[in-house]
Amino acid sequence: MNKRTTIAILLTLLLLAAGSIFLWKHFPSTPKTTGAGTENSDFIGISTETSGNLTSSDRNNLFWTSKSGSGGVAFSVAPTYFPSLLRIGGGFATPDENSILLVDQDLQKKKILPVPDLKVGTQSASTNSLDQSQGAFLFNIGDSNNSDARKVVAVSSNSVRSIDREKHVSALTACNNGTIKWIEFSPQDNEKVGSDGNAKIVTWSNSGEIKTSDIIWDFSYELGHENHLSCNSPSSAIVSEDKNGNPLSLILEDRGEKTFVKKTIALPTTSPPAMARFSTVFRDTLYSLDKERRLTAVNIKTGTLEYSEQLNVDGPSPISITFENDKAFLVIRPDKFKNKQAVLPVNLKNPRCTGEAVRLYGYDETSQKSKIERLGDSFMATTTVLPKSPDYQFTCR
Amino acid sequence: MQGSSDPPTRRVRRVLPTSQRISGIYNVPVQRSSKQDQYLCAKLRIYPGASCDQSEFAPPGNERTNRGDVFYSKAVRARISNHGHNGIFVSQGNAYPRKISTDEAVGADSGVQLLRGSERLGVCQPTYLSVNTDNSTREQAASWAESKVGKGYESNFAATRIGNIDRDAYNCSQLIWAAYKHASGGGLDIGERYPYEPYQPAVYPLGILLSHNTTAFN
Repeated sequence: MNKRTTIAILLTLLLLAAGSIFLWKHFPSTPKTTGAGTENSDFIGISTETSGNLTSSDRNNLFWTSKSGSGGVAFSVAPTYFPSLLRIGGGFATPDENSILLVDQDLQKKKILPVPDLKVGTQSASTNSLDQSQGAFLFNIGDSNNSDARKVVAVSSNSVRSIDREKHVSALTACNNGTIKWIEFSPQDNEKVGSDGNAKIVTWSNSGEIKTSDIIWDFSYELGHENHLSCNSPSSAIVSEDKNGNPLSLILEDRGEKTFVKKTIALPTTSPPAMARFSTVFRDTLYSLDKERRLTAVNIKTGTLEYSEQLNVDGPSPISITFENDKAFLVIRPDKFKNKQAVLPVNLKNPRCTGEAVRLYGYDETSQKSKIERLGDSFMATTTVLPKSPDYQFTCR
Repeated sequence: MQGSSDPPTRRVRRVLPTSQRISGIYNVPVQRSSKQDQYLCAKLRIYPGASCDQSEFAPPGNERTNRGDVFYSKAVRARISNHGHNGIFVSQGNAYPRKISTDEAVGADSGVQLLRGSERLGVCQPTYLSVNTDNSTREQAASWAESKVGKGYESNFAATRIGNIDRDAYNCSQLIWAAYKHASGGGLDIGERYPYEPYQPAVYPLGILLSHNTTAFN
């Protein structure tokens, strides 16, 4: 091989390398769609990278899975921290960069509802209305002046609106008429994390009007996200704790500018939920799963322990739980799937009734750039998984 | 190191051969500054090539993680990489995961944020680290990290030690390294693996995990 040929080969290789770098730099995050087969899906989920900081080349996967063993990524979206998927208007909604992405039940049609200044969000919580026509996402937008500042985003199948709040938000509630409610907590000591303080109910109507009602009560700690407020009644039951950290529920009576605590009910002491979003209140019952995989149900209006049942969960600790009405969908890593993630349906009315674990697909796909940056070391966690149909039923194992 | 009068044994991580540092299981008697007379027998497990698939996925923190302690999450595949993640605890030890708050550089667009336990995604195989200093320095480090909430994210991992520690952006290990640099007046380097380590232009999560200035506990 003469010198000229060698130089030509080297130049060609150099051009190819430069071209590859150009393509890699400019097309790292092209949304990926694999529409084929999505109409046969049984479960829809969202997953995110948990291995270290989220980089701009990470993507969250909106994925689908069928019981027959197929599945894949329907859409890849911006790497929102701790994302969730909400069932809205017969489809699903999840955060994307400066927007909320809405898809239909078959993941075929999508709509992008812009949310200015959302960027790639750090999601704190989410909820939807009982009729599943309305929903709300909560994002952490804290800064050095106010580390607990939050953005509330209300979403329906055809609209989105947002509002920034300066205080810690909990008990996020979406009502069928589009009203969004929550509780804002003001610590006595702004400098101290975990300080006691006061709280108020905030009502944000569909027209954009804000009403507040101070809760006449000294809270020893900020309220948790498992709580929800009533939409059609001035009376709400919320879970809190006394000065000694013992659990109790408060029966609130909203009387306009002030909300009074009509009654307090001591709750049985149970072990705490293993992780964030491992507890919820549905129809006045607090459901919670602890790190020993014990599912507990407590009626917060009577203080009665309804059950405390050890779930038969195979493999390492569950990764997430999605509560939907009287069912829970646990993401587990059973040995039979070699630690791949699977969804385990649980009947909250009868915790001994669990369905077959269904292996999930598509949740763990990562972008090529992310693979290179992480040297292949990646762990995608499914943070929400829902059955495609809201009327999903399963047979007890 | 506060209360270092009579440690039962010396920590052994930095004197072990490299292969053992990566794959060994160590019983490390450690000293907690808040409980000077208490020694916890900690196991620090690092599996080569392990992914979260073989390990527990859990929120960082427990009743023994105190304000100013830091965590390292995720085992690593390659020591040269910037893998792993760090955060600093800003809440005082608590058994309830929802009451454990951390300050972390979350990601490229989110920057530095205060993450409440009730809003925090789990992590893989967290290791808890106490910084070998006094409680006042720990408190100052936590406060300094809190003051950086809202700052941006530093994407250049190669030069995180270079420049002023007060800056507009941090990555995860840089944030807590800088917090202790600030709190100690510049004398404490929690990214330094052994005393008099030659100058490094950057700090990485693994450096903090293996630092002679941090002590692992469970």
